[in-house]
Amino acid sequence: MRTISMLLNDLRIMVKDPFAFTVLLVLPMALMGPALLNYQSSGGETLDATPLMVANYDTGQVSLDLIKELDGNLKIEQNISGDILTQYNLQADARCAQPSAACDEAVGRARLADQSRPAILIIPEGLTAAFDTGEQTPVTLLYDPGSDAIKLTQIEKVCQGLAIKVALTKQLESAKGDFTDLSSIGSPEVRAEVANITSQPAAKNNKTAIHVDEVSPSNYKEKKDPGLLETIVPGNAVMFAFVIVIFINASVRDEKQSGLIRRLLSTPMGKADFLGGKLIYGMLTIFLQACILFGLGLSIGASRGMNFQFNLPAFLLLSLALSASATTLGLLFASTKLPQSLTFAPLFIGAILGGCFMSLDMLPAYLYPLSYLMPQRYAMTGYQDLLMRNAGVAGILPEAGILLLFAVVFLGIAIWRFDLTD
Amino acid sequence: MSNTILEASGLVKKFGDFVAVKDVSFTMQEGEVFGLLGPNGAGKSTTISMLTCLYPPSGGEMRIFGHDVVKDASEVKKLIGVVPQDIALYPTLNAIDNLRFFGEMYGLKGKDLKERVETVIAYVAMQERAKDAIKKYSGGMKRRINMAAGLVHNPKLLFLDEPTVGVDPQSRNHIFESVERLNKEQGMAILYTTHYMEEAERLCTRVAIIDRGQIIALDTPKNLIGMLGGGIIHIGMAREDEELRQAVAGLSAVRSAVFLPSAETAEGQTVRSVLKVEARQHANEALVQLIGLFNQKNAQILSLETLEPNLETVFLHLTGKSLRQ
Repeated sequence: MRTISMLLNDLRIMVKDPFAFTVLLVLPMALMGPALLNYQSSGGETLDATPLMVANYDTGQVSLDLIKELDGNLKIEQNISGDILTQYNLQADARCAQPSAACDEAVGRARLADQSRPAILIIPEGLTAAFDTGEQTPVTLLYDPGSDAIKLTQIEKVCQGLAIKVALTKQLESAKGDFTDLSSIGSPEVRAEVANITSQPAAKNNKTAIHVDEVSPSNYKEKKDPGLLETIVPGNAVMFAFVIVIFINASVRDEKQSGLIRRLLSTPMGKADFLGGKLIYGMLTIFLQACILFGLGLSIGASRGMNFQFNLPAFLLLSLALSASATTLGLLFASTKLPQSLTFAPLFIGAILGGCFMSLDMLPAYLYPLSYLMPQRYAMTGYQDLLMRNAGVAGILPEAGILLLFAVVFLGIAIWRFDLTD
Repeated sequence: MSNTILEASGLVKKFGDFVAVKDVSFTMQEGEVFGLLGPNGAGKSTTISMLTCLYPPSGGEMRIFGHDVVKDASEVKKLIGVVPQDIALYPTLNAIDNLRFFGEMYGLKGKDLKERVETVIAYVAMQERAKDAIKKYSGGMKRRINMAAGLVHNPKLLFLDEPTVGVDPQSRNHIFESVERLNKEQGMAILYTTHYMEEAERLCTRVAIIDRGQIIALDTPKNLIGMLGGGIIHIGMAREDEELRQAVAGLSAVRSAVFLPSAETAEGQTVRSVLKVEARQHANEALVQLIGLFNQKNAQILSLETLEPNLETVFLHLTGKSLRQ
């Protein structure tokens, strides 16, 4: 009961303290929000989210096959209508009276001009017919040279590769017919055998002569560089979780210096009530902070077209473990006589060595081993596993376990060291 | 016959090599306002800290309402209220939130808690400002809420540690009235520490004078003041004249006459002697006899000071120094 009173009292103080509110919530949101809002397609975004305008003047099967293949790799935009036409003043254009290749080309060129799309693919009329007669007909990839070079290269290579694939497939199909024609010059036995083979339906599980099974080791973790979302959201949440170290230390020091703790010790309140109240207060604050930052970050990310996967129970478990380690570190500091300025160390040193600002791979070799001593490292790894690899509860258990182990050690030292009468 | 509610016997408190309290013993009776009077650093707050379960004593025993203060601290804490010298309140919270919190610490809840908070706020006359943050209060207002926090659970014994330090006259007077009302109307026993002798004289049934961690006198204010007879007279002289001192001591209106240690003049040059004369009944009568004797002996009086008989004078008499030194 007294623990709950301590908790409610600390929460009441925090709510009435604009500085605490600003540092715990507003500041991390202010750091995270603009970066996510300014996000342009890059980093962790997958290729199939890259848009490609297609203006298809051909009505034959080859162009349709090509577009179908492209659609599996890029986000194809065709048959534009509605608000987009209005946006580019094309609603009254004769080409856009109904969805057409000419209209798509007009919209595509306008979008290239305002740099909202990197490229437009123009498929000319008669592509299929030309293909059937063996003539080479080029398709045009019109691009903005000023746009993202990596994206452009990806689009170019995908278009080239898929054009070759479609062409080869068509040629193989026609070669099959040619092979049948050539058999007419063979003996009756050969013609009968060829007729027998070509008349049989294709086997349902027609496998290649050599099949490659893709098998990865059981403990393999996919190596993937984190994108903006996977860096900035967990980075802010983990770094600012350790602000609680400063707050708890300052709060306990203020209570000691003002005589409040002496006063409380003359009441039936005990050390366990005091530490318990502070512990729950800190954990609740950090847990809510993480939920708000992730909720906001992922909402902004989703609205900017970023892709991510998310396992809620795993997130809650990891956030709980993070809040426990951060809060108990605060209690540990409060149990010492270290200067208040040193409480900033876990915040910044932990953030750097824990990978909150940059990938751990970028740390100098002599600093890298130190990262294993930082709770931030395990929280970051766990959150990035959640976002990048869709890790479930089992997937983040090692990280959550290590964070809880930190918490147990920190709390043990804090209980041992804490002297309220000091 | 009144019951003993507090017994302190041979209390000692050491902080390393420093002995803050040396062999302090006293008792308090039910309904009594007991004063601990002494200068800053005399050991008053340390004594209270031990009695309110904050520090364990280095030696001695304490019992409150029959409970051993060290072994049965949780029971003792429920029966006592503490108003510390510091303003032990959360400055960003208002008076109601602060008092609710302290009430909860004593196990109060629900309707009882609400009623007690309202009662003590009314008791210290802070209804109009009860919803303001503590940090917006004057020093006196903070002291009043500090006192209310010690009363919220309606204790049987209240410890007031220098409750009037740094307060305006209005709040100071309000605190005096509150103490008197608590004692007279509710029969609450109060242990009051102060270095203001006026407070001890006005409020306390009995006063223990404490200096350098030891109780040097303990009695009712009247009896303590009575120790001085008719008062104290300090006579500044150019030199110590033993013959003259003996003549002064022999006067019928004089109880005793001793030389105080040498003191410098205001100019810091002339060293003179101060003869401390204790009047037997009335200072005026002693003065007449003293002046007559000095005239007769043709002795020079450099300065003359009469000290009114009060607890301050008692302290000076017992220790040779002022309460405010």
